[in-house]
Parts: sequence; structure tokens; C-alpha cells
Amino acid sequence: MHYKILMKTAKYSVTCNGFSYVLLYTLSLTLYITICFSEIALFISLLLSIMMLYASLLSDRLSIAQLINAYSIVGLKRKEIVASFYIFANTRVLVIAIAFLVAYPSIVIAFLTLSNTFIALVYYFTFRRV
Amino acid sequence: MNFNAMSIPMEHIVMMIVILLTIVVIVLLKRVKGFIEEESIAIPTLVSPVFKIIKLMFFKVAISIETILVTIAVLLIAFTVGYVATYTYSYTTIDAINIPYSYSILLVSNSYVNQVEELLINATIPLDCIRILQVFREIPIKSGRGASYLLPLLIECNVHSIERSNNILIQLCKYVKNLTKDNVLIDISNRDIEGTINVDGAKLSVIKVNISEYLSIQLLPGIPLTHTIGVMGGSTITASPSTITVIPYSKDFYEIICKNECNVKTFFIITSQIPDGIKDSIVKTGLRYFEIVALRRNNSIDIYSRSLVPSAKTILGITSSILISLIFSISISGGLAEKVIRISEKLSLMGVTYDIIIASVSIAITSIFAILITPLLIILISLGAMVSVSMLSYILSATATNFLLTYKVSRKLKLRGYRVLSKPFLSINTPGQIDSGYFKQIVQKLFALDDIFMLSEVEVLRGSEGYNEIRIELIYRKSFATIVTVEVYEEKGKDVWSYTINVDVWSIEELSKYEQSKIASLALSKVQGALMQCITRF
Repeated sequence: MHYKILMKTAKYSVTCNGFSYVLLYTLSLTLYITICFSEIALFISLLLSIMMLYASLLSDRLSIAQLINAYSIVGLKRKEIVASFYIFANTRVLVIAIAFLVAYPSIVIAFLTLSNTFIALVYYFTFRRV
Repeated sequence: MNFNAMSIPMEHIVMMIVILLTIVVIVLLKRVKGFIEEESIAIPTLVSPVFKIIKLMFFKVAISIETILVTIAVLLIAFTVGYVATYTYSYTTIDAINIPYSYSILLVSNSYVNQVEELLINATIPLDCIRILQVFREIPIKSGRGASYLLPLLIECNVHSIERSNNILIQLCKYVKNLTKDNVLIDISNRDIEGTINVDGAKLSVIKVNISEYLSIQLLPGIPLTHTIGVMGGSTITASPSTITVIPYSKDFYEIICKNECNVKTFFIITSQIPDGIKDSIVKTGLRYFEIVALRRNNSIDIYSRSLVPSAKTILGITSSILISLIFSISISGGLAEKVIRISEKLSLMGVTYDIIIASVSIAITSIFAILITPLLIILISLGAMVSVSMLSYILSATATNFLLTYKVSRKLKLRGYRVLSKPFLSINTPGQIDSGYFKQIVQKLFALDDIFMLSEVEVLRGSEGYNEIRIELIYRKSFATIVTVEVYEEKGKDVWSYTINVDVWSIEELSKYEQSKIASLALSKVQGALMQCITRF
């Protein structure tokens, strides 16, 4: 059951609109960091990536609301719904992490931590009451 | 990265304090001023309603999270691009098989350049270098045959191993090194001058040597060692060796010749071999003082000039910054469009057209970018980044973002817009009452084979006045948990029976109004068909 939810959510995340933007962003970010490499560029691209994550979640806001609705009707527990939202967002985080992995691997863990904290905030303030 | 540059300069702090004090004084003055007894009569100002709408849209657009995200992204990218941008000097490579190897690096300037050896060359490596000054000032000579002139060529040689070299310039140095302070060299072909010459009061004795072969060499194509008098038809005309006098360089003598102002061309020639690692730094420092730097390779010469071109890195950086900001604006435009549509639906009732709404959205985005240009400039200048590249990137991305956002919003507005669709509703009049049981049967038969709707429930309710009320509940098959409720009310007029069909769509999914009304019209048409079948039975 849990495996099925995981796969379905990841698949849904990929098919949503925002994923294509994340993919495009990752491509241009890879280009950007590998060419204009400096500490400031790295720091700012970290910020930009988190902003991009938020932008992609915003563009799929209706789809996420629908997903959460559907899961709650099916009878998933609250914890499972939160976990599914994490999976949905982390599918995108992993794609963006590829750009950092190519250019500067040691920053990937920082990026993952930061973005997951951010996802928690987004869930708390945007989708909790859906 | 230079962290020192990040500290806030003292001037900024002083400026901030002054601004704060000014604000405090203004606030205090307003309080202390007291009241004026007679109240001024308010003059009614005429404000265009369009302006009010634009203001409303401006605040709606400016305060939305989408716009803030895009602007911050564009600002951040522009800032980074300025910080990492680099330039390269423009350069060309020319074929130099015909030019004899006489130097490894040549620096040319159209003005007097003094004491750059220490800056150019690391003091730890002793290098052979020659400095040649072409002074464009004629020294008048009076001789037995009449008046003529000489052009001075000041040469300074710092060459360590003169004897072994077969370099043509070093051989010229051999003569120059042998000269004392009061001697000058003149080519043997000059027959006018004998003995001494008088240069601004200084008496110099003339030594005649055959130096024409040294003087006639070309350092670069079009740049000879001797004075260039003019250019004709693409070829340079140089002064003949007989009119040139070679003088060992000394600062005092240079000042004697060039008392006020004179045109001087400086050649700085490094003859000894230089390791590749230092060449770049020599080019970089050299171009600060000289117009041209030429690096000699075996069969070619690389000529660097002072004009800067942005490096490929900078161009790619700007391109990717525009790409990133475009991706941001695409992903965000949907949300912004939703917000704009929400107000425009209300505004449309007041007669505001699409064009005003779209124009005000565009104005709002443009003005946000225009306002934010000032803090960006202040930050960039205080950090010492390359402002021009940053500004270029900022303006390009802002324009692209503005265009894309406006386009997306206008498209969405026109697609689903504020065309308020009428609620599906239908009224049918018949001379006789229909059989509700038969109607129920028809509905069941109709929806049993339907591929759009699935019949969930159909019931006939009898009201207190004897009229029927039929309720049909349908499930829309093509979507997730969408239910359509159709209600048919029966009413009796004077001698007609009227049947009113009302449709209501209810869904868990976030369906748009457009989709909802489409589903409702589909359901309405089906139920109307069933009703008509009952009526035509008579």
C-alpha cells in the first residue's frame, strides 16, 4: 500500500506542469554554475533553487490540493498525506540536486536539508487546511 | 572573493544618519507647527477612473507572491552575473614568417611611457629589454649646403649579453652602448652634417656609422622602427635613415628635446625568452600603459589591443540568467493570471475592457522592476562589481519577464476570461402533464448505455400541491468524483404544464467554471432529450 502511494505520488509529480519547469531550470542552472563558478554564484543559486521549488509548487497548487483531497477521501491518515506531499516535492528537489551534483557535489546535502525544511514550511502555511 | 569590499563604507553610514535625522526633524516640525484656525476648503481633484483601476491592479500585482518571487530571482541573478563577469582583451594573430625574430614581446604606446620595467617584469628574473622613443620633433640643422633637420630616436638598452646575440636590435645596442653622453649616431648616408650639432644649446658630437640596415626593420607590419611620416595608399612612409639621429636615452636629454609638448611614440621591447606563465600577466599590465602588446611566437605574432570584449563566460552567464528568469516567470504566470482574473471578473461588470487590465498589469510589472533598479545599483557600486553587465542582464531579463507575464495573463484572460456563462436552465411548456413513472423509465434506459454519465439515483417526489418534483443524480465518468444533480420542477399555468430543469455540478476536483458549465450543459441536453421523449408520446 505504502509503496503504491509512493509510486503514484512520484508519478503524479512528474506528470504535473511544474515538473517541466524544474527540468528546464535544472538544465540552465547546470550551465550557469559550471560556467560562472564562484562562491557567491553558488550561494545565490542555492537560494534560487529553493525559490524555483516554491514556484513549481505554486504553479501546481491546484493539482496538489486535488491530490490531498483525493488521498483524504480514499482514507489516508494525516501523516501519510504529509509524507505524500514530501514525496511530491522531493521528486523535484532530486532533479534540482543533479545540477549541484554536477558542479559542486559537497553542497548537495546542504541543499537537501534546506529544501526539506522549506517544504515543511510550505506545507504548514499553504496546504495544511486543504 | 574579496570580503573587505563587503564592509559598509563610512560615507554610507553618515548618509543614513543624515537621512534619519532629517526625517525626525520633519516629523517634529509637523507636530510643533500647531493648527491653523481656518480650515482650507478642499479642492475637488479630478482623478481619471482608469488611473484608479491601474492603481488597484498595481497593488494587486505588486503585492502578490508571484511577482515578488520573479523580481527577487531577476535581482539575484543580475547581481551574480555582475560579480562573476570577466572581460578579455581583443586580439588577433598575424602570420610573421617574413618578419625576422628580433623580440619576444613588443609593447607600443603613442605617448611617453617611463619606468614600467619594474611593473612589467618580476625583479627576480633579469630580462633584456630595449626602450626606443620616437620623438616627433625636428631638430633644425644649419650646414654648408643649406638648412635641414634631424629626427631624434632615443634608445635605452638594458641588455646583458650583447656579444653573443645575432639579434638585429641587440646589434644596434652595441653602437648605442659605446656612445658617451655627448655623442649621437647618424647614418653614413647623411653628408650634410659634420663635427657637432647644436640641440637647444647642447653641443653634441656626431659619429657616423652605417646604421641604415638596423633602422629599416619592421617591428610589426606597418610599424617600423623609424618615424612614420605618413600613410599613402595603405603603405606607411617612413623617414629615411639619413634624417635620423640615434641618441642614447637619458631623462635630462629627453626633457631638453621635449621642452613643452611633443609627440612621442614609445616602444618597449623584451628580447630575452619569457616563460609562458608570465606572458599573460605582462599582457595584462602592459595594456594598462601601452596601446598594443605583441607576443612573438615561432611563425606568428599575437597582437593584443586595449579594447575589451566580454568573454564567452560572461555571454553564457547572461544568456543563462535570462533563461532562468524566463523559466521562473513561466512557472509563476499561472498563479498571477488567476489573481488578475479574479479582479477582472468584478471589474468587467463596471465596463473595464481587457486592454486596460492587461496594460495595467504590464505597467505594474514594469514599474516594480524600475523601482528596484536603484537598490541594485547601490549594492553593486558599493561592492565594486561590474555594473554594466549586471544592468544589461537585469534589463534584458526584466523585459523578457514582463513580456512573458503580460502575454500569459492576457492569454488566460481571453481564454477563460470573465465571460460569465449563464447557469444551465431550461423551461419546457406542454399542453398535458407527463407521466412521471414513464419519465423515470426513460431516464434509466437512457443513462444505462451512456458513456459520459452514470445514473446514480432517480426519484420522483410528490409535493403538497400535487405537483411532481423529479431529482436525477448523475456521476460524470470522465472525471474524479464529479456529481451532477438535475432537478425537474413541475408547474401548472392556466392551461399549460411547464417543466423547469435546473442543473447543479458538484465536484471534489478543482474544476474551473468553464468546465463545470460544460458538464452541466451536457447533462441538461440529456435530460431535455428524455423529457421531449415523454412529451412527444402524446
